[in-house]
Amino acid sequence: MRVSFDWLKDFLELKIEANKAQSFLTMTGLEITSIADIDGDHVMEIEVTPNRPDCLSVLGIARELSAASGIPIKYPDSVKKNLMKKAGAKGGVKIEILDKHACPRYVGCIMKNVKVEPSPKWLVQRLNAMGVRSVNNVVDITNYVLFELGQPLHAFDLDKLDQKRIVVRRAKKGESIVTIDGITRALNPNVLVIADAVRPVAVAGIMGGKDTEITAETKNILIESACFDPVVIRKACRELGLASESSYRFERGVDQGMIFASSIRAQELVKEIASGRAAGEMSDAGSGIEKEKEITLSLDEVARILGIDISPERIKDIFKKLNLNPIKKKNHIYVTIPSYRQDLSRDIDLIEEIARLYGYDNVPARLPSFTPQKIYQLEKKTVSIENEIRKILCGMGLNEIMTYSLTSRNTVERLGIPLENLVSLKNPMSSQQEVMRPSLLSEMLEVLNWNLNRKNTLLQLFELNKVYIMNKETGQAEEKMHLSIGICGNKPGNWKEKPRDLDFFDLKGIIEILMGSLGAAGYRIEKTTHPSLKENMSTTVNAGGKACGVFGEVKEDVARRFDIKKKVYAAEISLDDLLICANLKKTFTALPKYPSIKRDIAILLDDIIDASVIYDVIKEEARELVKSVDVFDLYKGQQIQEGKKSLAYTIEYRSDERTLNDKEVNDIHKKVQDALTKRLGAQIR
Amino acid sequence: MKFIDKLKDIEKKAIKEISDSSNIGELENVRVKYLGRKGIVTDAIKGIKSVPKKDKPEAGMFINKLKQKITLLLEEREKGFMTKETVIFENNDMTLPGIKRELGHVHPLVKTTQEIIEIFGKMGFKAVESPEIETEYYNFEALNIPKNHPSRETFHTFYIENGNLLRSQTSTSQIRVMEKEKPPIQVIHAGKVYRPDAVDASHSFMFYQIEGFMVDKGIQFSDLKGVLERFAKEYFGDKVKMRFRPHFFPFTEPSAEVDISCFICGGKGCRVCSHKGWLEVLGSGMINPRVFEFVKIDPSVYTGFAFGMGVDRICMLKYGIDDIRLLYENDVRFLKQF
Repeated sequence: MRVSFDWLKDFLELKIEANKAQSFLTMTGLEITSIADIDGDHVMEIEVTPNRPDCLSVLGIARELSAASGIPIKYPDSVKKNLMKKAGAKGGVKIEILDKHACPRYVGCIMKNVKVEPSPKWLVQRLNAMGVRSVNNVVDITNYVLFELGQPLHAFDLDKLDQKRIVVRRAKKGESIVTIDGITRALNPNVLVIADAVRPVAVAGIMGGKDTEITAETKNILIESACFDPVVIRKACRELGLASESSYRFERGVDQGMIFASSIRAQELVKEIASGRAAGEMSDAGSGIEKEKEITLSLDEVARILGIDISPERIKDIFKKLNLNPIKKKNHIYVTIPSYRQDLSRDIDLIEEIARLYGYDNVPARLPSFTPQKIYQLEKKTVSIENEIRKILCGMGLNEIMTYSLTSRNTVERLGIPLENLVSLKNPMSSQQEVMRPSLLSEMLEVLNWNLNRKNTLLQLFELNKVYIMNKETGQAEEKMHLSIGICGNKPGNWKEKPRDLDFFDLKGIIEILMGSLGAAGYRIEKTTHPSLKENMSTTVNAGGKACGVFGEVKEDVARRFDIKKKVYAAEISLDDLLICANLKKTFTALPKYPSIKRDIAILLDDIIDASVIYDVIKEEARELVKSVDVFDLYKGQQIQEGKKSLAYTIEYRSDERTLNDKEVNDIHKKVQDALTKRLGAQIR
Repeated sequence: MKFIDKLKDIEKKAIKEISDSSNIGELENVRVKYLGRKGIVTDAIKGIKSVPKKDKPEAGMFINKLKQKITLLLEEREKGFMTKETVIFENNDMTLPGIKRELGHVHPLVKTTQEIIEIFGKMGFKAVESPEIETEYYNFEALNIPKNHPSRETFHTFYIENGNLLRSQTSTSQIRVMEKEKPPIQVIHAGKVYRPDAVDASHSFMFYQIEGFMVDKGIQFSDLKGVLERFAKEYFGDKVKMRFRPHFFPFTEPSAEVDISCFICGGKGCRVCSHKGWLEVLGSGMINPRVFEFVKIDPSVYTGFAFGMGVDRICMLKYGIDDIRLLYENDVRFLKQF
């Protein structure tokens, strides 16, 4: 809502500067977001909250400024005398309201011998300040009253109304109207119209029709001042894709008490500016004016909610400034709510008014006494595992990413994963955000691509975020926390170390450290297949008989669909499943009492034998005496027979009961060597 | 033994010794042993004189190949050592750059969330989870946002196919928690919210919010001020000033928007605060009695306050980030700054 500072002076004797008024209004709830200088006037842009439609006028803002500053308000006489009035007169135009719910009241006033011409300068300027272009004096007057008093008006060319009748009714199917903007609009029964004897002449509360608009030839006019149901207007606006200053106010609710007074105010201005003559022909159809509400406020409640020490007199004073007519009786204050304050209906509303005008800044700050809260183990566990994962992965040099949950169907498709359990939006803004992602991998690949395009070459990323799956059985969408990891690119070298490409084993190492640090005992990494991962390069992490995630090399064609030409390695793990096998409780294991002895062994064997098989043989042979088995060399190629590989291990032997002597170690080591030779055909080198 | 066989024997031994050598020093010895001035291969070249004339070309070729092969193997093996055994010489030039390991970084939105939650955690607020996919009841009705009310318009919403919706504010957690628990309640909740806004430098269709609320006998507006002031000073610094402005939220009454004095310019006015001197950081208020009625908490016995803030906005203010899209692009050059 815009308001001109000069215009406010019609209602208030303002001796204060605009920025002082700004501070008064902002600190009582009408935030001034900017002040512009237009033709020497200060025009303030005000944010009016949806509960305060009464502030959508210069008068409304003036009332608030008066309450906040203590400057008394003065209404124009014609308005003051006619507030809360209903005319019994039915002498003018014949008005029929066929939908009394949609149009509780309609005041029509006939003015004759009007001279339609350009508006005087002051009127043009005032409208200009509000951002409205001048049309002619009559139309400008209706707009002027709308801004001044908040009551939307409309002027018809009376002589163009068939039978000079007004019928407020629902539009009939197939009817249409050309609105004053020149656009033909098809109507339907959801739209309320103002019709004459035969056809719609205005879309009620939104926009008038071209046929009956005021032109230079217009002699006699009908001024409409009415009120319409907010929901009916809002629906019609949506149906027609049309909104106006009028509909904006009707949607939020106009002041019942101002309908008649606004008509009088418009008549006064037409007489003054357009030399029109009121024919004394007013019609006022529809319901009477509701009685003003009364509310009782207990003084104890004020202290209970606000925590301020405020005297009943001060409260009464605040209520007086707000025109609430307070009467104090014992421990209660009784108030009468003016028709324009429809937002006030309960005692808490009055307490808010007190706080507002008392000044939020004057309420003391104190710290409440806190009660320790019961923490649920499960919630605690989820949060702690997330933070633990962050610590571990950041510790290994991975950067955390955060991506959007909404994506396109096509992005999911590119991953090659099934699409049937997607959670789809009914009203997406664009196809880029039409579904909720079922996997974190698509966004991970997008982010990798984004970075590769920007020549960021070392990419080790992870994300902890939700995925969304439609459970077909329950019909409910489920939210699951997942972890994704993506690595790609090149580890740069330095003057001591050579650069190298990141590969599958970098990712595997990350997974192994993660699982180990989370205390996931007995997990196994096994081969699997996955629609996004390369065959023979995809593995699952199995824990407790359940796969809690997958990792591997992303298929080349999948990567290419994300515009990535490099090799990418990625993982996705479900936190729910990880939680089952993880154990963040650390228990101390006694340090070894006896020394360990290391022996190296180099073997040449068939290339097809997996390292895990060799590991199992060593473990089975030396049992609990083996404490660790490390591969320190792997060689294939020249000097080695084709189809063979050379592997070198360091095996650490130790007993928990005694110091192993050389002979014992040699014996075990020999046994290991023999087993490798016999069972795997290995050649000891 | 024929000359060629002798060479083959040399080749075999050299290969084994090269692969057996376990560091650069040993490898160097092998090189000297075979290719040095008095080395075995050098010796063998001299021995070519005694080879029968017809065998000479073959022997010559073989010996050349042998020399090349040993040289190549030595180089390869040496490369292997170079990466593993890094220090092969004592280095006295301390001005060479240090060897740096990559450090991983927590995303700034997560960092901001963690810091804020920790501050409220110290004041006894318990962190809870709450779903993003919600029903109209939790997102609107129970929060006193009736159907067809203009205030619904300020909460534009995404709907999903089964009629549910993506919550437009984290206040849904108030209803979720108060349905299950009875006062005293003191809860903090962080999560995503969605609104159909086109993406630009300051808007996004998805962002993060933190919601906090406290319900007990005797909770007053002054407690809300106290708790938020404590938070602002902990998070933005001791010097920060706060300002509470009346506002409207359907689920609180009285409602307040909270500004802090701009910590960039100290309140004088700058680009960040649009020359106002104040930065709007959160919305808050006393929980509306109507909300209590929905969760069956007696508003004549209990009172409470609630507040909500945009994590993205606070994160951007705190670090001086001028475009919200940076948070979701995840450029590593950006991520590494936090």
